[in-house]
Amino acid sequence: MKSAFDRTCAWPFRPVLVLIGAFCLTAIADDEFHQTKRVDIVIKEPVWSAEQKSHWAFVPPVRPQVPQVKNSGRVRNEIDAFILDAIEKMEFETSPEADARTLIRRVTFDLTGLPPTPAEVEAFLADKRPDAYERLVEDLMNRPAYGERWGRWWLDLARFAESDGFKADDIRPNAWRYRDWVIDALQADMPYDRFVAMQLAGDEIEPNDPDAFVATGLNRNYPYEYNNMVPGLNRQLILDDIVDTNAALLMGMTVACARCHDHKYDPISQKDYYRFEALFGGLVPKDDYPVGDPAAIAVNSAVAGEFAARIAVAEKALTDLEQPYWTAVLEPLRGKMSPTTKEALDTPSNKRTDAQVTTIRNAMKTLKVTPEQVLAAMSPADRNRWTAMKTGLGDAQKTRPPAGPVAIGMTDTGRDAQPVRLLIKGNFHLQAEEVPPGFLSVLSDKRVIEPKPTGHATTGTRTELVRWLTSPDHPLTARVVVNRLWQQHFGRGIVATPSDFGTQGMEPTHPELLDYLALRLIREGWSLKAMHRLMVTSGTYRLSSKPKARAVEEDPDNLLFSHQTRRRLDAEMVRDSVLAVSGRLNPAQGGPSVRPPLPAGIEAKDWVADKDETAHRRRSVYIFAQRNVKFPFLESFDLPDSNLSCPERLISVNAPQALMMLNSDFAIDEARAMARTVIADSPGASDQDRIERIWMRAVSRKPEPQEMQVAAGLLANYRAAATKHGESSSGEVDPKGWNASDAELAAWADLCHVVLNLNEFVFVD
Amino acid sequence: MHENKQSHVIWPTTRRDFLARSGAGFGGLALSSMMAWDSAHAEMPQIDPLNPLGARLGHFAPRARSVIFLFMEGGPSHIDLFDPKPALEKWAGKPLPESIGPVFTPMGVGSNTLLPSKRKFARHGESGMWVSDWYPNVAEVVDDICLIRSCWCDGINHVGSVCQMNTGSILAGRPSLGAWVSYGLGTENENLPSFVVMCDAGDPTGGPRNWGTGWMPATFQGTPFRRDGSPILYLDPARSSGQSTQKTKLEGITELDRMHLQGREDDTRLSARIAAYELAYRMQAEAPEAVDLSGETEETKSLYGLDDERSRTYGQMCLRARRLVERGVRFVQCYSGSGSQWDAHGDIEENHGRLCPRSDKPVAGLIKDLKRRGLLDSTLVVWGGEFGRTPMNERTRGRDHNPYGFSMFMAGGGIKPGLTFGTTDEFGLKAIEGRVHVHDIHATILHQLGLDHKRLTFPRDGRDERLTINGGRVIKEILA
Repeated sequence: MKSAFDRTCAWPFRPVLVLIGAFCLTAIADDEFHQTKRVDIVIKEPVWSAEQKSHWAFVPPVRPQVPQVKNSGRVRNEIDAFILDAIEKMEFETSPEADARTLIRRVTFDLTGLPPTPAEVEAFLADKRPDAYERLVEDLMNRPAYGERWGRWWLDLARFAESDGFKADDIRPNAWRYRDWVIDALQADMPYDRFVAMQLAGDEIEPNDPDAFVATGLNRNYPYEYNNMVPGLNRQLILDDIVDTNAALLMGMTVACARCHDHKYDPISQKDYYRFEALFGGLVPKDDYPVGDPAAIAVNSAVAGEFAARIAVAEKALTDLEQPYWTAVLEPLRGKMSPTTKEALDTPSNKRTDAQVTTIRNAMKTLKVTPEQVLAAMSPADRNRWTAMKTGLGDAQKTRPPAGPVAIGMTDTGRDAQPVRLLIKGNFHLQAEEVPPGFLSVLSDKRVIEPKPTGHATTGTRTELVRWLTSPDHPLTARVVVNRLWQQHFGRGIVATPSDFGTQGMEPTHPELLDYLALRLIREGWSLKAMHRLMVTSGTYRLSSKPKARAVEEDPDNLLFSHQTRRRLDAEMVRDSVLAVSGRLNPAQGGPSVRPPLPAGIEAKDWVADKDETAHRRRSVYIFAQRNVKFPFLESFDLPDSNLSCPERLISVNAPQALMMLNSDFAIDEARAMARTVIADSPGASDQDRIERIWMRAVSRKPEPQEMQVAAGLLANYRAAATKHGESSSGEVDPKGWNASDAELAAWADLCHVVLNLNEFVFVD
Repeated sequence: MHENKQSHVIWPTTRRDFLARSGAGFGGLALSSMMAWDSAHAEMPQIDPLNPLGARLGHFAPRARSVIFLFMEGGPSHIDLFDPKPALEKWAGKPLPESIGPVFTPMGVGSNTLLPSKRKFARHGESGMWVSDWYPNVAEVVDDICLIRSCWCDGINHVGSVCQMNTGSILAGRPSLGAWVSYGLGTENENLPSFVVMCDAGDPTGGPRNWGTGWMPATFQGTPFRRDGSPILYLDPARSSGQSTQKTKLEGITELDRMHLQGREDDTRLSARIAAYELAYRMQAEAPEAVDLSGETEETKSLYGLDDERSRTYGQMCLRARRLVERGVRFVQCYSGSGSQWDAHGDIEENHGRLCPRSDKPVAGLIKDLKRRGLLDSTLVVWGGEFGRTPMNERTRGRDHNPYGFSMFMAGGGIKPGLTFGTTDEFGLKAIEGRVHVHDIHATILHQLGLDHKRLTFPRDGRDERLTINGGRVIKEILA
């Protein structure tokens, strides 16, 4: 199995550091960055003022009084009390609650990413129990579709992809396990504090649990440039990515500015950046963690160990044979060697330590001594022996036993991490002091943490980070996640910049509500499902998306949440809805990703469409997430770039989307499938009945009389065109085989295609 | 409550005057008033959500209306094309003098010996600009171009440098130059995309992110035109669900969408989507015509090198680029050697000997053709790769990446013609005089289009982001 740092096994290269005594910052031009220098200057840390420390987001939440409102009849739960309180103070009023049909469509999409089936709509409309809606919500949250929809939400934030990005964009064949872990964890309502703990430090906290290791995939999701040849720079870029992602994802802090200088706006010093980075300083990718049946793992591990031992013996024999000749070849180059290399060379070959052997090997590379030169120096007898042994080794390597299933993730190199150094102006080549691990100084006095021993070979620093982040008085963790859920359910966060709670982010529109929700999350054992339940059963969630005239005039951005926000379906929801209404959605869960065919002219690395066509119709979250080539259908509907954590999807409305829905094979095939399904479901039914079925499938309601009239008129036109086609000798369908049922199917397919293109299909009230 | 802060989602929900206009019908929807933007962002482009690519004014009077960026991907050698270095003859076979200090390159050729160019250089035109015999046709238009021999960039590898030449940063995730231009100015032909990308081979290093929008709305992204067949994905309505025409379907969609719109007029995205369907329909008609070369004369085709097997592909792309800017497309990018083909590590003579004839006639033909049609004044042509190549040899006959000094040229669009600007050191390794960073190139391109790179911003997580990040200077010295 190829490791992420294949060329060097672990973090590539120890930086070659040039120590310079005197150093003057101004003497280094910005562009002369290609040599690594150790910079001997002391970085002063700023002292935070009381005002800086008292930024609302840095002060732990305080449990607020739930307000008493005049219109208490509108209060379904505490959320409504907070929302109505502000609305009453502004002498505003809310829109009325939406009707049941609108509500089931809205909440089914929000909780499962799919439309309700016609039967579900009918059943809900017929359910007159007072808690019918609450029962619906429970049912929806218990479906696998819930995990898939909310898994996708987290995968955006986790910048999940199954390839490296950059030029090579190499595939990460086992990355899907992290996707499944996220879906399963959310489905099982894993408490959020544990959900975070496993992703940051599953390897430390549950060292023998393969699932916990898979969870560390969060930090394995970094984009990776394998071809980066600057020594040590890859480690730096990856750690930077991990810091930026984790700070934004878990704390809503944009720390990247502090990579180069103290943050211009937020109280984050440059030193804070690197001390936070040092928490992750021990991390390396591990791409061969065995998973699956424990007995099989044991067998595989024994076989692999035996193989490795055999190879090691053969390699050592080769090295032993070569060693005396290294001395001969290297001797003339003594003048160019470091003292360490000289010392290694002067040690008799049978007494050299492994490190010394490595030193000499590296020196040969640096001094451009080729294997051929070593071979040439050998006696003929030794050369023959060498050749035979080398051939034997090559043959042995070909007998590598097949590996069992493995997972990819992150773990530490050992108890001690490679140092993290502060970089002057963020320039990797200007390395200043080593910074020990610690938390952000404005939030914690722990500028240096002393991790408790974990009992195994990791640093323990990430476990300390988890402890800090998930302690009940952390001011950010709970607020940030409840705000993210709120954003998904209400169209905008209480803090409208969900990954920026700093001074440049938006302030909360309802700070007491945010605190209430954050503390309630903790009180309810960090249950995300409890939070979803609270939000979607509130009266505020159920409001109509149609604003009152005064709201349009005076609160255009709906800061008061006096009405719901109409949602353009996310890319996956558009595609999954098409499949759901055509009746062809393949509900299979989990497992390796699928590759539906790509349109002609689009190519992606190693992308071969699955032979099994039903795999093409799995939910979109299971489509292979190639970093450099986004799946075209999803891309056109604003699938985010997986190079960065995406806190909020952009929603665009454009002509290529229209072309995708009008002309793509996918849209056309599914329109035809939908027509087939509708016809098969209603043998001998009237046109009117079938039109109603189409509307129910696609938009969860029956058509209004005026719409029925238009639809019937369109159908008549399409039927005429299809019949005429049967009579002519042109067109793609062979007229000889074209019969009345073909014509009928064509007409209904055209009508279904129209309905799949309607605004109402992709916009949910 | 937060009057000074704007979320980066671009579609506000309110149109005070929308009721007055709704019901104006299919065509009427395209006529629109401008969005009222937050006063704190008065400098930002005024985006009409009904028509986000509608033409709009920049910050000041533009010199150019369109840009054609000729991207030689992989890193063409300035030392063998535009920047002759006689000193290399003297130093041939010797390493760089110690005074230069250590030089880091991806393949570690810093201490390798210097490799003089085998090309013959001559001065051309009235300007006497130096061009080698690898670009004889370009040599004929030197009096129309401004050569910059002092470019530099930040990345030593392709993916970072291609990304930077396109987005300003070596790290992925930011909007591309063309996206910024579309965001700033919209397009002058609403039947075509505002930003078109063409490649002569595979995807450039880094893929579609090079014309992406990063965190900007996808509306502004580049639309790749394919080399063969229909130029846009699914532009061709060849397949149908049944037997009726697309037009009758669109009429049905629009009629039903308008019914749905009643009572929802406050949500402009709904009307924008109706308009997007209209645009899609028009594009189906206009885009194939825009790239159809059958109406071009044999003389024109020959000018672009279409009669030569070597230059036909890139010639077609350049000719299409002219047709697109003629029709009001704002930004066209044509990749030569897409997929890092200019990357001459092993053998400069073999590689560039193959690549140069593929682009020489097309590039020169484009400039000549634009000029005789009076389009060169309003079209800024930019030629260049993501970096140059080293004067030191790699594997004896090749050259490694050189981000420290390389050449680019610009033509038309208010750039001083016939000027040779900036210099590299005597080896052609580092830019020394009149140094021009990628951000300066970007700032200058925006400037010629009437956009101030410091004022063209997009709010993102509390920061007003710009193309040039924290740098950039308009290269005033090269403006006509």
